[in-house]
Amino acid sequence: MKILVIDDSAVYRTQIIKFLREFLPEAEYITAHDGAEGWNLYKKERPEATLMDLLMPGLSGQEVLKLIKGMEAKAKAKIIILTADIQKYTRDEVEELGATKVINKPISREKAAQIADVIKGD
Amino acid sequence: MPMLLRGIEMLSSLQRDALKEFMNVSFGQAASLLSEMAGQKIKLTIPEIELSHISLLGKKIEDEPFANIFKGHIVSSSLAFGNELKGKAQLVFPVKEGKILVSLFMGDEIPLEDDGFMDFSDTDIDAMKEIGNIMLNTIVGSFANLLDKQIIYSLPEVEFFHYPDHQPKFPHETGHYILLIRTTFSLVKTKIEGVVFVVLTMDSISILIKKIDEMLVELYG
Repeated sequence: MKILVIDDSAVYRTQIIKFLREFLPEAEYITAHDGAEGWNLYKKERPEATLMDLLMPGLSGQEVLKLIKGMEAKAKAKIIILTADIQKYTRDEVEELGATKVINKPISREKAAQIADVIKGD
Repeated sequence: MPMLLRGIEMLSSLQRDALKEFMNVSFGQAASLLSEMAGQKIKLTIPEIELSHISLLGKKIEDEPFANIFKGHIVSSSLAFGNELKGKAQLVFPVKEGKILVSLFMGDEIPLEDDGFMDFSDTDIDAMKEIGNIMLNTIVGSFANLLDKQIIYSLPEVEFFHYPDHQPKFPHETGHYILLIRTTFSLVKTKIEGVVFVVLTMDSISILIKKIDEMLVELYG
């Protein structure tokens, strides 16, 4: 299983993967440092799950989400948003765009377990 | 949590009370997240909120409550926002304490004085940006949620400066009022003191006060 992690913070990319490995040790983790790189990697790798920040230089998470859903609206690929933005407008917006789950930062072991359950389809 | 408010003569006692309660919730959430990030229990000491004109900020930084923070090398993580609410939020720490906080966030050993306290690597800056991003989003985002307004954030920024040679930048447009919030975080092993500034435009503050009035009418009729 391929999991794509898109976040402009190197520290956060490392933390996300560190926590997720406990629950999904067999997964192959791919990382992107901004939205544009994330979109290119998504097209190339077609990951089963994508974890993505929203506020990033260049393409925002919302824009990448629109591109992914525009390419394959009915795709089974899971898009999980991991953001510091706690606004209900933001949550509504990305859920409407087709995000599978929205989780607020900071990441923790408990939140990683939730994400792993979503990815595994539990 | 007790809360001190100064310089808010434009608000009635009921409005002030409602604002205090609202700030208690926002700060409680932000402190809880900081506790998660630092992996330690954090005691939030008496926060202060002050509403005043931006032109007075320079003097306020020199006031007693801020003198300990604004002394020598300082690191700041900030987040500007616009759309229906406009302003800037800024988290400021002395560099030494910022470095300790970053070490806690990344699960590293707390650095010793001799280890080069002032040296922030790219990774440290990245971590400081995330700490500010998460804490400031919590405070500003709760404003937006309370007011039922949508805000759009700019990318978070980390800056270093030496006070008083260089001073933090704030929006200086006419009519800007500053909602000045000072917090002191006490950690179990060490004490980290920081300041949170939230700068709102006058329009945004008016929206905040109007919403508080609506809540009071709903409550008291």
